[in-house]
Amino acid sequence: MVNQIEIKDLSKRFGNHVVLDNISLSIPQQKIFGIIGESGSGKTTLLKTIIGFWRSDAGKIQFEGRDLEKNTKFIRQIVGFATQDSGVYPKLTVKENLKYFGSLSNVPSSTLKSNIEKVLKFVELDYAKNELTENLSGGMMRRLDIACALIHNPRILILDEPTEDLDPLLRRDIMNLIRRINSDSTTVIITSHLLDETEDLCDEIAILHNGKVLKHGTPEQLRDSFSKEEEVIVNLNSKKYQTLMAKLKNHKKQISSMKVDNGKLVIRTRSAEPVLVEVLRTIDRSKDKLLEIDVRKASLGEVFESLVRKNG
Amino acid sequence: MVKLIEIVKKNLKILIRSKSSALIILLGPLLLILLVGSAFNTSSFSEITIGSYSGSYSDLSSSILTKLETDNYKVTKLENSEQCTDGVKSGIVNICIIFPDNLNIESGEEIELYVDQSRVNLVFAIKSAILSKVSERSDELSTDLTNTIITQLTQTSSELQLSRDEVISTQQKNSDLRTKVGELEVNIINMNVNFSEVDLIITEINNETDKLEADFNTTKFNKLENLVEAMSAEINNFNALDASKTNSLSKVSEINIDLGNSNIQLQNIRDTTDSIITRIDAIAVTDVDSIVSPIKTVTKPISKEETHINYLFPTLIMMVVMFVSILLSSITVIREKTSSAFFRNFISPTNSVVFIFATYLTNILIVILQLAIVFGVMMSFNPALSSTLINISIALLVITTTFILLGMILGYVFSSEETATIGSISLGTILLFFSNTIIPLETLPTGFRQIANYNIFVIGESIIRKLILFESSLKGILSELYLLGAYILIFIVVIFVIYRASTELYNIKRHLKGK
Repeated sequence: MVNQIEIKDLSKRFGNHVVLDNISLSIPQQKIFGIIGESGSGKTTLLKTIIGFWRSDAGKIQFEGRDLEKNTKFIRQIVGFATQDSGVYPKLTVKENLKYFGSLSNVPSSTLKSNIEKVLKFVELDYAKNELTENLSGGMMRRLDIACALIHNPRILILDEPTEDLDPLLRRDIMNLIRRINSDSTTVIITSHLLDETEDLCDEIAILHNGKVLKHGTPEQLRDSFSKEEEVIVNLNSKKYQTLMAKLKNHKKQISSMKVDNGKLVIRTRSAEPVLVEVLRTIDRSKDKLLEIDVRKASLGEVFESLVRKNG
Repeated sequence: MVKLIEIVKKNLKILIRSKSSALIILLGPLLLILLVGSAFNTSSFSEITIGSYSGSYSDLSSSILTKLETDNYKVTKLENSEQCTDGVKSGIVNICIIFPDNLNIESGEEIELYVDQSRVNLVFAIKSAILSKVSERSDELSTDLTNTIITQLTQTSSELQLSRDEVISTQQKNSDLRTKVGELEVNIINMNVNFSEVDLIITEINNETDKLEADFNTTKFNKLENLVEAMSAEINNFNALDASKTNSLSKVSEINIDLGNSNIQLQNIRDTTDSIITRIDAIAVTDVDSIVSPIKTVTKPISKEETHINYLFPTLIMMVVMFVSILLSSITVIREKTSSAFFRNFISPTNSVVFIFATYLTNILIVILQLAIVFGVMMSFNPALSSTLINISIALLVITTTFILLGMILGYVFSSEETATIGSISLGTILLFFSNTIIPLETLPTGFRQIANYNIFVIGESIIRKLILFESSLKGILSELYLLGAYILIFIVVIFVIYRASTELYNIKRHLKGK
């Protein structure tokens, strides 16, 4: 896998406050790379530093093998950036914003018009192209922001908290949009503190805490690094789990814990299969009605929580 | 170039679409010009209220007040001097005039004027206007007095001329008299009153008679001897004539001397009269007006204009240019800096020079538009402006550039629209205060005055005044243009120095605030 961005020993401080502490990351080409962390963990600073908005205090940043410091213009040409605050002019129409940022990003006049049409269709805003930006809804604004970042066909798209403050439906739309952008061979770097969506979306994830990268890898790798155990979740109509829990005590070696949580029995085990068999058998005998049964690995949220706790 | 045009277009669209900005930008200067134009489109003061007090108004003091009233000043007679001076303090009257009781020209008393010195801009004008009216009345009185003096002098001169002629005539007569007295003296001197020979002859006659009597021994000659004796006695009386002659000569001599002295005195009178006449005649200026005002001063405008608005126009234009340029450019910069789109602009592959130049270009276009409106309106009042329009345009371009760059510096220095606005207005006010607009620069201490001469507002106003009022050529304003050019260069350097630092500092502040 070719790494499109290499970050080595990057540090950044504001006054005495260290925001980024010796960060090293490799971001692969044409993948969706997620950076997760709590608010104030340094996600936005990291993104703004790698694009050269903030000057780093130490470290090296390379885009496609070229140093940021010496190739700022080139790098800004291949990168599109959408911030969590909409980086557009409210008094311009959707189309005017795109035309303006397209011109700034050296899109030739001859192709600018077609680019605008293409991007507007892509983000599904073509119906609102003549609307003043200040009249757009939150979701439309976010899509326009992404459209502005895409107007010059960047090879890398950086999205800082793209689903922040959006309702679940709009969030899903934006997620789908990001997938479509990525499917067009664009590397996407995304920050979020919504772990579930990042887990589903990203090919690779870095966990940032207090300006440090705690873990970096695929979601699978991160989950595995946290725990090999799986969770078996059982939801019975009667919500009476005593008989089932008594039967499962025979599998003591395989089960590490059992607890009733929100009317569901959560069983943590190193091997889900024999536990599942025993659960289904017991339910069948008891004639109780099984509403739901699920097997899952530890969530990214749990991984994150565990890492954050461990690192204070 | 495409980027530049796009940025300028974007800036203009944002300004125009913001209703308040559009209103201020397009209508503000026009409104200002119309307001000031209608307020100052007059050449005299009106609604100036004069308070006056006198314990007893004389004809003279009343005549001064009448004169002021005829010139449309509102005169209010107040009951006492305190009320009059308090009226100035409270602003009920603009000036208080206190006349001495029974003012007359002989008394030599002073008329007191009380003015509110804190109203610096008005006090000199009011004082000057009122004093000129009082002075007019004073001149009238002086004219009357001088007229009397001149008439008396002329009359004296002609009477002296007559007396002089009489003196000359008397002198002539005196001279004639002296001549005659001289002749008389000669005649007296020539008069022979010596009878000694006759005495000798009588003696001879007596001797001969005695001889004859002796010879003839007769007394018949006694009668002859008696006659001779009688004749001898008579001749003795003639001998007294000599003394009379001497006496007469002495008297004639005295008369001659007296006549000489008299002549000398007459000559003295004549000389004195001549001298007085010469001196009176030497008064070359006998015209009363010339004596009352020997040096006449007439204040003539060096420009053709007549109303205040034409004189105020350069200042007005400068105020519009200064405040609009500084405010607009600082606000444009600060809005861009605080805009959420700033980050996207910053990370675009566009040089900061393009953004800086585009900001300048946007502002200059707006100010040019405003000035075009202002000049359009002014040219309808004063078509002569068109003759200097090219020079004015060049000068205004330089002046506006200077103010815009200054405003941009403020925009980069401050971090919010509010502080930038306050900063811009404060700076504009300082520049305005240390110019001739509020108080004359000449009243400032030398150090301040020298600094104030480098005030951009002062330089700009001087350029515009020269161009509009005196129709000066570009050569005439070259030194000022060079000075503004130097300012422009300095400001450009400052902008480039602070651009990156100020935006980074602002973003750090915003970043830390966000946390």
